[in-house]
Amino acid sequence: MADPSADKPENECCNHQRSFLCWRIWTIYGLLAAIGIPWYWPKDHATQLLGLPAWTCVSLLASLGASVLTTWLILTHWPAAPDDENKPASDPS
Amino acid sequence: MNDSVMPFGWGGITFIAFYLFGLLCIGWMGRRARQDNSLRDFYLGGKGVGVVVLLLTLYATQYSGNTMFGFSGKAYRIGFSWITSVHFMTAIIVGYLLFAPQLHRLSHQHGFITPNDFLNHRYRHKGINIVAPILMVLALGNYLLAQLMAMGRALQGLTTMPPQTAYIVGVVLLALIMVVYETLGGFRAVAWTDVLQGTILMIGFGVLMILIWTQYGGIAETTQKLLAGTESDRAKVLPPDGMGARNWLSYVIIFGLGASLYPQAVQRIYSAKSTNTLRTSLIFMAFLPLTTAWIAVLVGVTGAAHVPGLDGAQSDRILTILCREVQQSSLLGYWLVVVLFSAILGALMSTADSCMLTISSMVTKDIYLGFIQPNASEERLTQLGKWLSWIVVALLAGVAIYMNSLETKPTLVKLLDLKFDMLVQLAPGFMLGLHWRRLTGTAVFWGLITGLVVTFGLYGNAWIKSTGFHQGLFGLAANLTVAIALSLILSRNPKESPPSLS
Repeated sequence: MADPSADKPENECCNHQRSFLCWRIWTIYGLLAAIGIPWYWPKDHATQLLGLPAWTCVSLLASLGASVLTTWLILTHWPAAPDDENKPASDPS
Repeated sequence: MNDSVMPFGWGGITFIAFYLFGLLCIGWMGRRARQDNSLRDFYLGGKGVGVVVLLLTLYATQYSGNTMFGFSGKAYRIGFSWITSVHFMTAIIVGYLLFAPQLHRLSHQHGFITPNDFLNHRYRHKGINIVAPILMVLALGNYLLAQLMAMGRALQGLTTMPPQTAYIVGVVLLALIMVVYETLGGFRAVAWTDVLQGTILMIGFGVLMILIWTQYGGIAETTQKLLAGTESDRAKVLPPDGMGARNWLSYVIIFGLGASLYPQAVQRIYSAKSTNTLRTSLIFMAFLPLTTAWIAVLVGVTGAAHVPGLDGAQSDRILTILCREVQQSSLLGYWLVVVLFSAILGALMSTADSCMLTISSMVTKDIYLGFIQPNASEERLTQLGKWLSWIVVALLAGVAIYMNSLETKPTLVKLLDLKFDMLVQLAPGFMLGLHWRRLTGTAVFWGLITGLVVTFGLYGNAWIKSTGFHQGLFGLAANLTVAIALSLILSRNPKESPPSLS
């Protein structure tokens, strides 16, 4: 029986084993940067959260989000390794 | 007595002396573990390193004297806005996603040693083979210089010697220890000392967190104190203005694309024993900015609230000033500061030794073997590389001592910025080149030259400064435009055939 997925066009974004080059991934990173960089806060905003300026907390959370996303990508999207990849390096000479 | 001096007494000095002696012993162990006299053995440790060594050597290499002194100094000057550093240190790991998997695979297939080995394999372009190594050597030389200067400043804070004498002793003594263990054991010595230095550095940041918490109260107290202070103190708590936000974005981009291409970090990607080793190390690295750069920011902000009045390069000494206050408070505080000081030395030396080893590898393999003596034996090249380390360190130590005698001393963050403006120009050659087959060597070369001309042409330009963006990013935009346009034109020419990516 034929594999039903064989006819589907190859989409690097959906193929977890191939690449990090996917517009969805970089859009999420862009959104996290847009949240993390405090450009949208009023200039005299001094509200505090846990003793820190509130904008600092939001910015740190965005950074944590980027770390979590990166971890998930490394675990699930790392480009597939050829069979010989884990062999020791050859002599450069 | 100078308020930034921490006279350690015999207990603390003995601890630090043992620590430094331990580094020399590790260098000796690295020498005993060598398998042959090849370049790969000396510069990459033979068959590669496992997860623990790779993680700690990456960590100790990327978190440096700039993190401890430069980041805390900058946070002292601009306040909470310097959590920019947490973002850009995370951006470095994100930047790796663009090239590390492919580069690691290629390096194992073709036995790369220096970053330029990839560029040579990919483009076979003489111009790139000349410009890229020189660019990387200059950028790393700048970084090594910043570390040497920080070593001098560290010792200024440790002894009661006259500041200029302490600075010279710090630069010369620590550079000497570093070059000795590196000459003995090459990459193994550097990576294994990084394990010790990285571990102490992690402990050091933990200690730092406890110190500022117990000595100066919670962060809420610091925030309140700054808010109640002068207009400039209050600005350290408020969100940045438009230019500050653009500068923040600029840092994230330039670090994500430039710092991920640190030549010594590229060599660590080569040195990972397997893909899983690299992946696991990068996962841990993704979270370390929150336990490292963030703590450095807290130190700077705490200093701004409790020890006001430092300007310019003087503010890079805020960490030593705070440590001195903690040290005098109790016996526990004394020993915590001793451990922390060892961590500072570890941060400085681990970054500096990696720079030194990488500079030596690039001059030896890319320049000497590539252009001067193509038939030189591996044994001769390894020997030459060791001599080069001594020459490079001696030269830069001299420059570090000279720069400290200048009236206007450069801040550590300023020195750091210059390096990335240069390194980021290599991004198209590495990152685009690994994914776009039509990118040609000629296009990358002229893109690189254009990028460098624009970057240095804009240096000091008032309008560029007012945008908040690094001049290197304007250079990168020009670089990319030229590289892509030329590739589209030249790749139709059969003489510029697309090179192999595998």
